[in-house]
Amino acid sequence: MNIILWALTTVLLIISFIKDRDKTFKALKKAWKKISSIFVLFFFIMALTSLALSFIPPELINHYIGKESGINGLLFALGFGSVSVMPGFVAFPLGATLRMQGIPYYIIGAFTLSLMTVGFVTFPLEKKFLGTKVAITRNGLSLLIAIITALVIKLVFGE
Amino acid sequence: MNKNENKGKKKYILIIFLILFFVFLIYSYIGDYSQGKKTGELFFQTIFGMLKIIPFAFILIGLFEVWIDRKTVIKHLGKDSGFKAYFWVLILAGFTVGGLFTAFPLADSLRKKGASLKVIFTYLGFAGIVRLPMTIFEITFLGVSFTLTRVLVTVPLFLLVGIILGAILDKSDFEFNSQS
Repeated sequence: MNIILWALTTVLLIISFIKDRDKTFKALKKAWKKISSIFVLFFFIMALTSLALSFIPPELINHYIGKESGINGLLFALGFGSVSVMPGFVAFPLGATLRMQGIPYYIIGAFTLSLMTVGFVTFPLEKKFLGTKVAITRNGLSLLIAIITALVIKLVFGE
Repeated sequence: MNKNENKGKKKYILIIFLILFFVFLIYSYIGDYSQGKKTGELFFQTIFGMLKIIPFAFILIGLFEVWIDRKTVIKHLGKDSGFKAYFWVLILAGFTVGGLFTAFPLADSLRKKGASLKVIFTYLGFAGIVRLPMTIFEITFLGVSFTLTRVLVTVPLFLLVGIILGAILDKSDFEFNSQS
């Protein structure tokens, strides 16, 4: 998987460089700016995750969101995803770490999807813009889609 | 100004936490504290794993932002209608950075340019699920098959929701509150 990413990036970077040198440097500058702006937060989240994973017993994590957690695990992941706010660059590495601990894909999917589409914390903003009724409907339907998608992932990966 | 100060403070707290974290790791290795050593192992294992991915993912995102012009897409969206409009909305959502905070003002300006509520609500749905930088991250960390399944299920469903919600609201006198 990593090799595809490395190859793709290198090829595109070379093409971009041949076509327009200035634009390419601008792209690299943008990339560096983004990396440096998330650097501290990223290390923080990783430190927190590794602390959590080594101090919370695996049985406990498995009990809540593991393979046998069933509908409760799904609801827990959906709830956690709906109320938290974190950028993708934090959520997906977190998902990958959970995956390494044997947490099923559909639980991770329920979490990342509700995180992306259901906004508990951003609700006031949405309410202001769309009105209460429409904002609630939109978030409710998003939650429903997150549930459906998680179930499809469960089927596809045979978990 | 105040917001920036708050941000600076937050960063400061995070850095102090990280320093304490590293002190804890060093003590754990010196004192042979197994739980702490496990923490360190997990931490460095993940960090090295990420270092192989993150720089490349961000370079891809940078290239993408430099080469793709958002304005061209918006121009198409004003002109094309029907099926094509939904296609452009999908592309536009791919370029959305910053989530809902940028999606709402954009939705408002699309409305002013004459896009239908069906198209706009589809855009708001898509903006949550197909943002490209985010999707690049998703693929690199959770795998192509996971992301592909996720995209193939969510895109049609959000299209459906956008069209139905937009159609219902088109009939009422719904308008965006652009003051916010």
